[in-house]
Amino acid sequence: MAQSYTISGYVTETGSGERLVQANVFEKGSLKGTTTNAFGYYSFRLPAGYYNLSYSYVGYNSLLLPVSLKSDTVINIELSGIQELDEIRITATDPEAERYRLLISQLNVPVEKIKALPAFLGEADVYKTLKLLPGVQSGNEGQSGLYIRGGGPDQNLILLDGIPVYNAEHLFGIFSVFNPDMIKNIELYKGGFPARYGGRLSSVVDITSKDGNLHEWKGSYTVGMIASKINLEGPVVKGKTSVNFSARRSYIDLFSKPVAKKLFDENNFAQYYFYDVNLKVSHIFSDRSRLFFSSYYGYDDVSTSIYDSYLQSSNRWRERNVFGLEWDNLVTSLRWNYVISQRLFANFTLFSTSYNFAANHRYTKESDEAGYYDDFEIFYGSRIADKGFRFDLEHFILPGYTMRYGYHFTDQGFYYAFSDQKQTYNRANLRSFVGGHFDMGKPWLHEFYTEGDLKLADRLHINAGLHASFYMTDEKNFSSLQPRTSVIYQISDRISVNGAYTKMTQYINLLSSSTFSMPSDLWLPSTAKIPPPQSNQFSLGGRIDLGKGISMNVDAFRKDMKGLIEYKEGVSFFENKKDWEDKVETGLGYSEGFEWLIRKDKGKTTGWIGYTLSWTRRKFDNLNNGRYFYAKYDRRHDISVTLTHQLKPNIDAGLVWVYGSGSAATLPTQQIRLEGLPPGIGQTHVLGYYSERNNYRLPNYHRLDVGINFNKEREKSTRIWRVGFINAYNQHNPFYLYVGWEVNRPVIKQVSIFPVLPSVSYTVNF
Amino acid sequence: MKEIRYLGVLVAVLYLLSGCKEILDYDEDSVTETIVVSGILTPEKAVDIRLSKSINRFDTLGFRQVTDKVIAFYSDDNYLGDLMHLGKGRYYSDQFEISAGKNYSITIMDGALETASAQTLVPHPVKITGLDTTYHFVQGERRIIVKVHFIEPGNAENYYRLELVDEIFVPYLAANKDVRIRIIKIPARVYTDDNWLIRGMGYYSAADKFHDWAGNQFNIFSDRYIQGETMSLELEMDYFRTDSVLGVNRKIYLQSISKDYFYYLRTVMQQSQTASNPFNEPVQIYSNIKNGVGILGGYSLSVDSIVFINHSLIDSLFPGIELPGSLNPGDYFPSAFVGDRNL
Repeated sequence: MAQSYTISGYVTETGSGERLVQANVFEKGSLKGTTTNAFGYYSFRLPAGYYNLSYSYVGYNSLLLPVSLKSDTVINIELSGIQELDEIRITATDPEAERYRLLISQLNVPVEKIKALPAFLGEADVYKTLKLLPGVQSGNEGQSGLYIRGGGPDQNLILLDGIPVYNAEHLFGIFSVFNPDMIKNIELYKGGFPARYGGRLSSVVDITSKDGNLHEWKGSYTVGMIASKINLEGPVVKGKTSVNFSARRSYIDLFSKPVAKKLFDENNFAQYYFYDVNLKVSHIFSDRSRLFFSSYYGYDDVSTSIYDSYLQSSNRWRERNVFGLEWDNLVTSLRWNYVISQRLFANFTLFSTSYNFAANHRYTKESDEAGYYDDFEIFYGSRIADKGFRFDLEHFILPGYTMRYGYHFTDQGFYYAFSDQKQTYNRANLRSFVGGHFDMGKPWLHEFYTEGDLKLADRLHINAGLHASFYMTDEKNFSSLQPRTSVIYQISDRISVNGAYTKMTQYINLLSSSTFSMPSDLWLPSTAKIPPPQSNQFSLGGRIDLGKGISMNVDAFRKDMKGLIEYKEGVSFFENKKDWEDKVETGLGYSEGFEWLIRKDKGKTTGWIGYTLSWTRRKFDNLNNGRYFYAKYDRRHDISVTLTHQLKPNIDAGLVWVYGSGSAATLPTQQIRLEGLPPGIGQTHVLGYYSERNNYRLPNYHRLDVGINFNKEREKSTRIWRVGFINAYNQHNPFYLYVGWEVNRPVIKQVSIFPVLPSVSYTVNF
Repeated sequence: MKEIRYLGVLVAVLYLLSGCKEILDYDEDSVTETIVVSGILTPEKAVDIRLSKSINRFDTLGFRQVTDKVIAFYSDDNYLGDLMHLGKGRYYSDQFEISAGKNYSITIMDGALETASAQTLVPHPVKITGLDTTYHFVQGERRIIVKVHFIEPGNAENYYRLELVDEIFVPYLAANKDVRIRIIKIPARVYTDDNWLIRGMGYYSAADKFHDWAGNQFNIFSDRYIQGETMSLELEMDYFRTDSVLGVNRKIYLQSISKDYFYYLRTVMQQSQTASNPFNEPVQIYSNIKNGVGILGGYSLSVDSIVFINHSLIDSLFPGIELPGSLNPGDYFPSAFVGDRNL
């Protein structure tokens, strides 16, 4: 028996030195091989002999390398990106490589392709493109968060370079916090979660940022309708140290403020703006040792002031209403990769991540002549802050057999502040204050995992593991063992089937209104009264390679959840959250459905069509009389069509069409007259009545976005004009509904916020 | 009010981003009307049940009573008889004796077809064992502090409602110039801001200072934190109306109400307080009516009272008349003075 040797190394991009994540590396004949890890490293073993090694990555030219294997070998490979001006854009990898990937409810989102899609108000958004994939919903217009396979926005683990981000969207969901210029790779898991991930029930969005160009300085700037951004990357020390910096700022406030002043008066204004900054510094000590520092900070600010002065009963009255909202994310990490041996890759991470939110409202009314003064101010603030460290080890044991182990520790902090001040000089001098700063918990989370990735025969591929977690709070400790299993079986060269089972536990909840989803939603820890939510998910699916770069994926899933929370009936979203445990109900839910995706990755026209059919229900003992009801984001049908077409070598066009069945809302559709009531509110009283929670369906949502990109190559730069229309046929999609009056009768009124919008941006890459 | 301001400012911001409003078509036929039942049973009162139909939310024609049904009345599953329809959806009988501790049910029939049904328990009363009264002043106004003593049974889940009714004895001049007395009954107000049990409907303990129920107008509470306790429930209330009245008999009713009735009243209060605010969670009216909505509830009560007697006015209007010399609670004016109608 021939002796086996290890082949290992890094796969990087030609020119920049950027490491490529999930690049395929395999031996062409036997298909033995692996994919690069999150740091671009690969390792596998083959018996001594002659081989043709294939290296490939989406959007890059594949490389076939003949190798004579006689000893442990380090092969670092550079792959060159496909030129955008090529007549035929090959965006798929070698079909043999493609089916090698374990595609259990896992999707890779090609970042470069996303930039070709119509940009919203000039901003290409890779995170928002996730919402075009089957199984992923975006909620209603103006609503932030991802809703994946029936899970709420708090059930998604969104990682930036391995560190959780708590609020991933600016401007109520219109833009994500992820600057596309900084993103190298996005992996989305909707099921079949590998054991190395934990802490959320419904999905993992694993985003890797670019390290920065190791060999030359490059950059870009973009001027768009809502925001502008700049990106610079380059070597601090050539071949050793790189830096990648990007910044973005909106300028809605620059025109909203003068517009408000013009419409009202000098003392009135309304403004919104956001900015974000990314910085990443990478240093290569040696082939075995690399250090990365990355940091992200993003900030949003909304504020309005409405002032009125009027005469009443010969007295001058003045009223002012000032309202402010602000929130920010700060994510920082320091990571060290170390190749312990050719088959043992280690990563150490120190990190901190925080999300802060504050809302303030002040109302004053006064009249010197009337001797009246009324002033109240309410403040609400919340903060979640994590810090900790992670240790991850990859052991490349045999070709097709990799083990992963890890330990993660997180020190969490939850804080809440509230104050309600009132002062009045009308008739009597009364002053009241209620409030305080509350520590909502400082739990510790310990996580351990072991994960095996095994290819048993040429056709059977298994990923199995165990994720164990221990959550320690002041009141109670929780523990959870979460088995994970995914299996893929290659029936033939073109057809594969897969199945997966995962158990997930999450130790935090997002307390949000059933009617709104806002950045003021409060992150809270599991407690003795509110145990951690858990889910069990089964999925079955298949993949068919139809040839000519066309493939089809089908998936069916069933997810059962328990420990879900909802506000109790009648509770106000703006109430004091100090005693939040007494204001929520716990219950269970399930989601089941079917997903279908057909995609074309080769040729002048590429894209995909996705369809989801699903049901999502909840059950709480003290809500809806203990009966099952549809969740507010239950959407029966969800369709997305995404197409890009190369019109000319320097012109490409994109089209996105989305359709979703109306989501659910609670609307009293009947009135009842109650008689014989005791004194208090009137002995006969008319009230609204609905037989079921979330009984009403909002109108169906659909929208067409079209765009065209003009590329112009100059000597030292590339200029791109992106022009398009968002909501091209001016569909009025619902933002919210309310019952109003029209010609003396009540009617349902719908408010929409986005009519047809032109979208223009200008980008220079240099 | 604050929440409406939030809403108003938020909407103003969003309108700056541009938007439009339109009226949605609504399929009124998609909503099935449902029968609405309102019936509360208590000892020593007749059975009085009202039936009506729900209407579409966008209907402007008004409510319709249900006048064509038959309501069969049962006690512990024994058929007692049918209620008589008095008109306008009111079904009535004074022939059935209601007793505490018994289960009662109704079936609403349309011909031979049962359209709706409900059942309830009339709980045993919990006796008020005594009242203690003191006074204090708030911003120059006199208020009464009454401690209502009772022993919470602690044997099961019990639910209560407090009701205060002032019987005000007011003099008036009859046609023959005699001075007569009429009795006016009006609810008296309980101040519940500092009363942890009433304020929180019994769901929050005395240690909890921050919960924010909008208001407990029905003064209902549960025994969640007081099971088996000897209670001294402190109530703060307005002083009596004293001008031109001969006296006030303030009756304090401690009602033991059925669990269904408690949840019904709670949800009615919550919905009426929060329905107009989009930042409040929706409230579904609790119902124990099968194939309908509304309530068949029950209660029994215990009553005690505190009395105010305006001696100077009585002496001036009825010189030489001997009145009960005692000021103990429960003393009433002699019936000879009471006028020929109650208001």
